[in-house]
Amino acid sequence: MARFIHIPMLVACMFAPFRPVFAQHISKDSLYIYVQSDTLRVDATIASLFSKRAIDAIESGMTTSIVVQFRLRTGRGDQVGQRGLTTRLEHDIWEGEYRLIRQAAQADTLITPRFEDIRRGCSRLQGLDLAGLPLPNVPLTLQMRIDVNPISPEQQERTRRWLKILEKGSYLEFFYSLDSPPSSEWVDVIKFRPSALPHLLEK
Amino acid sequence: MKALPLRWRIIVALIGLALGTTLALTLLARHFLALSLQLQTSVNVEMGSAMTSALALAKENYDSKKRQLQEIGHLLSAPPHRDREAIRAAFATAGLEDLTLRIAPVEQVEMDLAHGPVVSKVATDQLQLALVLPDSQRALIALHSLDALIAVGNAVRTYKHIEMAASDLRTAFLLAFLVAAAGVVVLACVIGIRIGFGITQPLHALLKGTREMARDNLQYRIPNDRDDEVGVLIESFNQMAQDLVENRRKRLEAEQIAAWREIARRLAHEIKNPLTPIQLAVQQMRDKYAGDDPEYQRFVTDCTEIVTEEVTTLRSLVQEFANFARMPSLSLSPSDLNESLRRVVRLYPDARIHLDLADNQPLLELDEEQMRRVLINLIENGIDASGKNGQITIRTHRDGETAVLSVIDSGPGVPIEDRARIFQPYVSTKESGMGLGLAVVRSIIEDHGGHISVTDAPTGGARFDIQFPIPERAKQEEQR
Repeated sequence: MARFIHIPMLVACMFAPFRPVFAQHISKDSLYIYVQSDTLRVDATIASLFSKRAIDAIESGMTTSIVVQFRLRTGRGDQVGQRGLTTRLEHDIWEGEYRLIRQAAQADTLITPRFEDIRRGCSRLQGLDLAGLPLPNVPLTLQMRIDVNPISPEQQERTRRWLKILEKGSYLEFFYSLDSPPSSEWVDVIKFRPSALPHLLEK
Repeated sequence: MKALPLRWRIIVALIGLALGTTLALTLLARHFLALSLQLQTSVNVEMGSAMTSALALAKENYDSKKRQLQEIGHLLSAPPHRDREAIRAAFATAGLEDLTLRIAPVEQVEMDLAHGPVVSKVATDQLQLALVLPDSQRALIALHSLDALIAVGNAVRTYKHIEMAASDLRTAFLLAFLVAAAGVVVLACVIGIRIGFGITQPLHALLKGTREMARDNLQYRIPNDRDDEVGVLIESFNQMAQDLVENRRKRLEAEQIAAWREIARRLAHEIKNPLTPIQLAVQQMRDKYAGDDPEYQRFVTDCTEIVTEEVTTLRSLVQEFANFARMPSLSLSPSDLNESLRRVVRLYPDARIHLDLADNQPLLELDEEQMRRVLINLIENGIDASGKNGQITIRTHRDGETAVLSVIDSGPGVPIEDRARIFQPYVSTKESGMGLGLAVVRSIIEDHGGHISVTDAPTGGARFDIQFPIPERAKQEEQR
């Protein structure tokens, strides 16, 4: 990742049409937006959350951060609400355990020896608050952004020590940096009118 | 098809050279990069396999340590009671020496040890064994460091990270190389253009200079701020232009003097012939008068004297014309300028003439008689200008390739506007004379290959500087 001009990304964009497509996404079948207690909420399942590269990294014991963000925008581009979910995934290769730590007001940790449980835990979102109930007839767009970064700052530092050619300020660092990649782009998930949403009773 | 101008041919050649070299280097670099990647790929496979094996071994070692700790835990929790040394020896027997041991009352240990020894991983880099000792009062907590295993794990992760980044790194290397190569090419182009312009600009200037000369603009000079061979060439061109101007001036002057000489010769011829009959006729008129009128007698005698006096003046002028018109060709021989000066100065015993002559002056190729004429002319001019009490200084010295003779008087000097004209024939600042003296002087000096100029003396009078070339013979003798 270049410091001034993001050359690799530029090149990546140039060759994008020729690269195999891999992207996390939410299928419409798994998406359910509803109103509950005057709040817009969403249930969803993210498909292809982990790339093969990410799974390899996790399997080797790298601590991975997973950030899932949603936002609601009106047709004019005004933001109505935004919600993010940050999760840290640790893999203790010695004990053969995965720890999924959801960083929220009420921290939630899942410990399991099965990666499938982790995949499910990360991919399934239930009752996620998006925003207070906006004007019922204003069309809204739900956008999503997902960043899975298996390289922790400690790992970046360790790798930097190994690859001395990529030290800060070096010529090569202009073309490639070990720093965390910039956030991914927002993608539209669905367009809807709040008035058309089902209302669920509070549990 | 019209050929490219030289400038562009040079630039294209230099850029072509730079591009060709860069291309060749790129191909070489690519070849070696491919070799390096091949090597790296085979090393990577080996390394990947080694890393996987290392991690598997480390995991095995970890499990083995856990089992050992578990076994030692069972051993130590059963009687007999052991002291601290015996406990440490039990761990040592199992190869677990890098330990931290703590024995504490059971109630201080916040763990459920009722079901036997507990082995667990704590603080990410330690294995902990906790057990109740046989006296049931105290608990043993042993901490074993996993630093070596953690280092293996970190190495595997770092290797994995580099492996993940390898593709992007290769792209980055290639981009870095291409940018550097592009920089080199741009630099080569800039240098090529600079060199091209550097070579052809002076050529264009020289071309313009020759065109100006062809248009008879001999005053045109090429600006020169270079100190290399091209600068020398431009300097030579400018010198050639200067020489052309000087030669043209000399030729014009020679033509002018030749024309003046022809006029002088004719005038001398035409005036000289009737002078003697005029004088004789007047004298006869005076001698043949037979009358006795004293008034008339005196009148005739006065007229005869006036005519005779004017005829004498005219004769001297005619002689001057004749001398100017009949200047003989030079008869050069090696001469000592200082000695010639001393001889001439002896002719003016009453004049205040100061000689300041340099020693070891080389012998010059001079016509002694003509030089005598030059020196007499200059000294008499100096005496006329300085007056009775005036001082004349005559100095000789060496200035590089020339010998310099200076005649400095204490007169009023020569006004700047007259300096260029006083060497022309029939130009004089004096009331008497025909203005031929300095013209004759310059003619003789230039016939000797010399040069005369007039400036202001520091004391205020006129200073005439004559430069004579030093003959090759004299230079060779000096070198010996």
